[in-house]
Amino acid sequence: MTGRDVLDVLSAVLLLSGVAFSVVAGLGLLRLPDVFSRMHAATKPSTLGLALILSGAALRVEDRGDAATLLLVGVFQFVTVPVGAHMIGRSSYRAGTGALDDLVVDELRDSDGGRPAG
Amino acid sequence: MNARTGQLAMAAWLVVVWVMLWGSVTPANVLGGVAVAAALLLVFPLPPVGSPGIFRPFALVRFLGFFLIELVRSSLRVAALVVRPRSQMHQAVLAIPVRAASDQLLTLLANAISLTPGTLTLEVDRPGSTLYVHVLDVGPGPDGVDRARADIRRIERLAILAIGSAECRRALDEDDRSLR
Amino acid sequence: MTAVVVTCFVGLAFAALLVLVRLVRGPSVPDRIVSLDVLLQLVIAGIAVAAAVRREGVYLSVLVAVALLGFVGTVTVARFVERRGS
Repeated sequence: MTGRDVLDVLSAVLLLSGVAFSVVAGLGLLRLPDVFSRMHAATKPSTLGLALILSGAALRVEDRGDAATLLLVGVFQFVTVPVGAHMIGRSSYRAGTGALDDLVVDELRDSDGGRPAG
Repeated sequence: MNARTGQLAMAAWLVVVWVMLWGSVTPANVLGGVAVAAALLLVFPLPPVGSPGIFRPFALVRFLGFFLIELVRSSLRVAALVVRPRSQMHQAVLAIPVRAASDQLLTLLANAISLTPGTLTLEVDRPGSTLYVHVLDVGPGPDGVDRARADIRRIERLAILAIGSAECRRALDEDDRSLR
Repeated sequence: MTAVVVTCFVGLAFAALLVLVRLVRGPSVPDRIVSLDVLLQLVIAGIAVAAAVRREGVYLSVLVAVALLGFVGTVTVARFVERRGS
């Protein structure tokens, strides 16, 4: 069992678990009842899944530079996906799409915090 | 950190990212990176990011470890929800004040919170140094909100310990003492 | 390894199908923005799996471009929705 075989097995595990989480994300997007819960589903498992897949691919790729690129894209995703979700959530909240009519607590409305111009 | 140093640091970082994207450290890549970085910074002069880079390695590692575990837990929680979608999810939006937070700390926390189970950063109040977090389910009981706040506090504490300023940490300790 | 790769592609295709349904159904604009975002992530995943199969960075530049443009697109549409009120 050479070193490369070990890496291949590890890579296979990473790829498969990443795909599993991506499927979870797709299922969540479809099955969950309202916009905001779907946003939760769209961000967390899909980011984790993608990170796992990129790591698995980085282990298989022969050129170190390419592996670094894959990992860099993964890190980049950790920054951009939450920011994207935040912006979508914020615009949904402000537009008042009605999905948030029955909150237990809404401290944002109570405080009128930070509404900058655009 | 004045504007000039900030810009040079940003330029250096941009060159590093550029070279990494191209995959190999060749003179052509580095020069290309410098050219692109210079052009970008001329067209978009970014304001200097306030605080000096506070960086406590061990605390940062603890934070990253906790964060990754929470990310996995959150994905598993979504999987559970997919199998049995709960018709009644008691959603809430909580205000999380982070006193004396730097730009980096607020950004790191906002992003991290979005990737932990059941929470999503909805709004960032920079002047008030407060994050507004949407919680997916605080549970039906009366203390659900407090429990959610305590959960968020855990990752907040680890982030502050990792990259929070001394003033920020003092504010955190004060809040802890007053809660007890 | 072939079995792994086939499973990966089938899984990603299935996930993409689910997301497409949400993309078409909506009902709101944020639903569709989010669906597109996840769809692009699945595309990136597919390219990564292809790179893993061939052991070389095939279409890697496409992967990077999709990642960058996906983010820019999402933010742009979100700001547009915010201004126009969906």
